Formats: sequence, C-alpha cells, structure tokens
Amino acid sequence: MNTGACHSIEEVVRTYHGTIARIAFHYVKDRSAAEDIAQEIYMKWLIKRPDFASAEDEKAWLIRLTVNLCKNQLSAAWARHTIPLDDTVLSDDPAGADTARDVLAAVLALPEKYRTAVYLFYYEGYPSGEIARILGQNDRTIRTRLARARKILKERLGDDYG
Amino acid sequence: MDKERYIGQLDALGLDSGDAVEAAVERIQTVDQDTIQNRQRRVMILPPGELPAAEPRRVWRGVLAAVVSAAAVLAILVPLWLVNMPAPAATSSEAQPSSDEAPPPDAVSSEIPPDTAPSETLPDIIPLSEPITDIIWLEPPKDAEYCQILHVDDTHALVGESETSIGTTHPPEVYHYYTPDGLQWSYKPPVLFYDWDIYPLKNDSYALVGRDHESNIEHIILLDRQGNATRQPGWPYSRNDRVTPDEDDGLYVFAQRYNLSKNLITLLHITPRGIEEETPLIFPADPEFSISGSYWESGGTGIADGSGGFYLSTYLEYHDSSASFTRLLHIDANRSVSMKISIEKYSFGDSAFVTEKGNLRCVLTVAEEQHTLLEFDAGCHVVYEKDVDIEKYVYMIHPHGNIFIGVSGCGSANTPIQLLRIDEKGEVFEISFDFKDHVMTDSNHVHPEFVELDDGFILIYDVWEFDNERHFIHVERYDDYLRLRSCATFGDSEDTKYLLGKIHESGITRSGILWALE
Repeated sequence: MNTGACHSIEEVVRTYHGTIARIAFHYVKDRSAAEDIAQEIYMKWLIKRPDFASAEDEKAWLIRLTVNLCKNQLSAAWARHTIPLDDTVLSDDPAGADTARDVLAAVLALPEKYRTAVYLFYYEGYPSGEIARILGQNDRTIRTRLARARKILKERLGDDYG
Repeated sequence: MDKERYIGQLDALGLDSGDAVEAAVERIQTVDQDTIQNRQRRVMILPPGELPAAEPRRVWRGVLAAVVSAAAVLAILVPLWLVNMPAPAATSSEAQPSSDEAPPPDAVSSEIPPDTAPSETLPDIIPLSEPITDIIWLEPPKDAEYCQILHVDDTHALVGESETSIGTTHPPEVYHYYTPDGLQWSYKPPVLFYDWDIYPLKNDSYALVGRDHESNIEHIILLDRQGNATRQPGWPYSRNDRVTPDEDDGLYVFAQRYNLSKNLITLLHITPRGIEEETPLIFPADPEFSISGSYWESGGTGIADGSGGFYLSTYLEYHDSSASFTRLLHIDANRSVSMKISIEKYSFGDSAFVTEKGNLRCVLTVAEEQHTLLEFDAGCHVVYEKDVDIEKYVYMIHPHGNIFIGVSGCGSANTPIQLLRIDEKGEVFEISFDFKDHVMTDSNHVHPEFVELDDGFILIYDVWEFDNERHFIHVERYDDYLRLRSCATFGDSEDTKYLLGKIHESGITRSGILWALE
C-alpha cells in the first residue's frame, strides 16, 4: 500500500531535512547543532522504522520528535554551558553582512515556546489546529502563543513588520 | 509579522540547500548497522499490554540512577556551598527522565513510553531569583462584596460573586467572565442551586450544575463563551462527583435515580439542545463477586477514554453497612460495560488519567500513608501495579501529562513541604523544602492549588499564619521536572490587594485577580 510515507532513510532526509533543520535551528540557534539534531532524528527513524498511515503523519511525527529532542538538548547539562551563537550564525553565510535579518532575529529572540508555533504557522503554513495536533497542545494555546508572539514582534519591529 | 521577509531570511540561511541535504544523506549513510543494533537494544519492544517488568532495563536504570544521583548530589551541594543560598534538595535517587521521543500519531506503540527512558539530564536547581512578572491584575466587579475565581486558564477567568462567601451551601449569585481585556459579561442565574458546582467544558463553555432543594431536582445551565445561557430541564437523578466534557459545548454525566434502593446508573449526554443520550448501564455478572441485598451506590468520577467510552469508579455500601467496596467500570463507545469490583478501598478521584493507549492510570490512596499506582486496560484488567514509595500523608496528587505531581507536608506547622513527581512506573522523585526559606514565615496552614500549564505547572499556596494573623499567597512555577522557574509572594495583613487564586474558602477579600502565569 502506498501511503506516501518514506521507505528509506535517504528519502526521509531528502524530503524533510529542511523542515527538521529549520525547526532545530529555531531552538538551538546554531547551524551545526541543528544539523546534529537532524542526524539524531534520522538515527531514531532508522532504529524504529515506524509505519505511518500517511506522509502527513510522518511529517507530524518528525516535527514533534525534533521539538522534543531540541528541548532535551537545551535542558541537558552541557547546553547550559554553551553560548548562543545568534550573532555568529546570522552572519554565517556570505551574504550575511549585507542582508538584514531583522525579522528572523526577532523571531529567534522570542521565548522558546513561541518560536515553533511561529515557524509552523508562517513558514510551513500549518493552521493553528494542525499545529496543536502536532505539538500535542490545545488549539487555543497555539492561537494564544501566536497572538502573543505577534504582539512581541510588533513591539520589537514596529508596525511595518510586526 | 512580515511573513515573506521572515521566510526569505530563513531561506537565506541555506539549511536545506543542496549541499546541506547531500551532507546529511552522506552522514546518515555512514552509520553502520552495528551502531543501529546497539541503539535498538536499548529500546525494549514489548507486545501490547504486556507488563514492562524487564529486569535488564531495571538494572540499567539502577546503575544509571546511581551515577546520576551522585552527580545530582554534587550539582546541588556545590552551588549551595558556593553561594550559600537556600535551594530545594533532591532526596530521591530517581533520575530525571527525558522525553525526547514522540510516538507516531495514530500508531500503536508497544515501546516503553519515553518518560521512563534512561536520563541524560541532571536536575537543574534554579535559585529563587526569578520573580514572576507577567501578571495581569483585573479589577473586581464594582460594589462586589466577595469574589472568588472559579476557573482560570490562559484565555479567560470565570469569577463568582457573592455577598458573603462561596462554598457548597453558598453558591455564587453572579458569574463574571474576564479576559485580559477586562470583564466581558456577567450572568445571574434565575435560581440559586445548592450542592452546586461549575465545570469547564470545551470551547470555553461552562456547565453550572446544582440541585433545587425544594424539588430535589438536578438542574444544569450551560454557559457559552459569549454568555449565552441554556437552561436544561431538570432530571430526578443524583449525579456523581464530576461531569465529563464532550468535544463540543456539552457534557456527559453519570447519574443515579435518586432515592431508590435499587440503583441504576445512567449515562446522560447533555448539550445546549437538551438531553441527547440517556443510557441505563447494564453491568455484567461477575462470577467472582456477587452483590446481594440492598445497597446504595454513589460517588465516582467519569473519565473519557478518548474513544467514545469512559472509565468510571463508583462506591457501593450495603444498607446494613456490612460491606463496602469500589467498582471500576469501563463503558465503551457501544455502551457495553466491563467491570472490576473492589479495586481498592478508595476511588481514584482526581488522581487518574487515560494514557495514549487508552488505559486508565491512577494513583490510589489505599491507606492513610500508602499509595499504589495502577494501570487498567479497557477490560478493567490490571496491566501494571506498583506500590508508590511515599510513606506520608499526601495533600494532593494531580495528573500532569503522562505522570503525577503530588504535594505533601501541608497543613501543619513547621513541616517541610514536599513536591513529588510520580512517573508512569510509580517511581518517586521528591523535592523537599522548608517553606520558611521561601516566604519567611512559620506558617500554620498552607493549602496549595494546582494549575496546569502546557510546559509545567503552578502551585498557588494559600498561607495562613494564625499567630501573626497574616494571610498571603505564595506562587511558584515549576517545569515538568520539578525545577523551580519563578516565584512570587503577594499580600499580607497590611495589604488588602490580595491575590485571588483558585482557592476555596480562603477568606480572601476582593481586589485583584491573578491571571494565568504564562
């Protein structure tokens, strides 16, 4: 039966690496750390080789796994002794010096729990109800988080961007 | 929010560029099979329903717990030594669990839930230096004599107003609905109900349930978020302790015919449109236990099982008081009933929840200072049982996600308060602290209230010092692993700006309302 879910790890990486890396980046704010987390996610897929009823379920599982792993990484003892690399990573690519990253920087500066909701809503285009399902939260909670995130961004960026 | 700018800036990082993806593919393909198999051995796969009692895992956990425990002690002692600052002290050797894995949605997972996975995270003791700042104070209704928050979540609060106090025999005369923007609407019910209660439903709705003493009829009023009230016809039943919200604006309630010697428990589904289901429950015969003689059956808590059914516990006692016992029932979506009689002396009350598998997990207080964690499947068979190592009076045990949070040591002077984290296997992690170190008082009575958050919980302590006639509120916010995140103390005898928590009969007068502490 073709469920649309991936059959190989290579397929998983090619299909979801962008989503996984971007979510991880929103937590750890560091490209290398995000890639390490992505690698760990792929390991878990290899170990479990889970069956999914659909590609949507597979993606939701990977997103939730990424979020949980990021939270654990951040609360681990070693993470508390690392310095966030916001500035470093934001000037990491060659165009960094010339490209203003004001909105992204403001999103990354949001409290942790708002960042994933903002990413899934604005980048991935998930409706709040779907985000709630993926993250195991109440729909109302997600809407509240999005509203609060928007409010904070507006305060930081001004009416033009907020 | 400038969506296009955000997406553009994120894309510019190139996290999913061709090179990045190829590098990721290459990295994962270099992982050899031995590594995967070694990791797989750490993940125990059990057939569904089988008890997770495997010894190798326990040995592994034991070794790990010992290592982590030693590290935890150092982690606690060193900062204490360095800064000489009061801090909670870990008293259990239980390691902090991690939750780095999520089960596939809609897939039946036979793996031991990740909550019991060996820990890679040490307890993190945070000094009490982070004040709670995100508080919204709301003005009470004008000319109100007495107000009490009946329910609060992160979007709104329902406040009851009365001339004197609010309690079982003193129902609120008016209900007020607040959002962070202020008072939205008020509702004055047409009749004062006694033996009343208010239940939050889905969609920010509420059910007000109570008894009209003159007619002995139960009534229910449904209030939606706009303040529209629907009064349902009364029914001659006695309800059980609690109602269960449905997925919309209605509720389920298990009720008994009132004042009849032969009990008949009936499941009622009540919505703004009326009573939509009324199903008398037919219990199967139990070959190991027969009920003879007349009895009454009461109490109990219905909990939705997530599949259209319910778990329900009831308490039976013969009229001649010769015996009493508790039934545990499971009512499936087709309304057929599984039953286990006499699960323990006490019903599970609030200390229970339904797991992702649809099992009922509960912590039962089987004696004054004796607790047991039990898990039942839909056939009411015990699939897990473990004595919980808490040899003290526990003030409350509250379900929190996949685990339980307990508080002990309340209610008497100079008793350290203990927070308990009871994981799904019944292992206890305990933090003990002296309240005096927190709020500088010899408190005589401390009554905590539990407020659930999606990333932790809040305890609101209602503290009353008899000697000093001082009364105040202390609020602490914790994450899922009992790590204190922030705290604050409000009010004293000089300050009438008391904070209203979700607190019963506290004698707190009007003034402010503590909003959700998110």
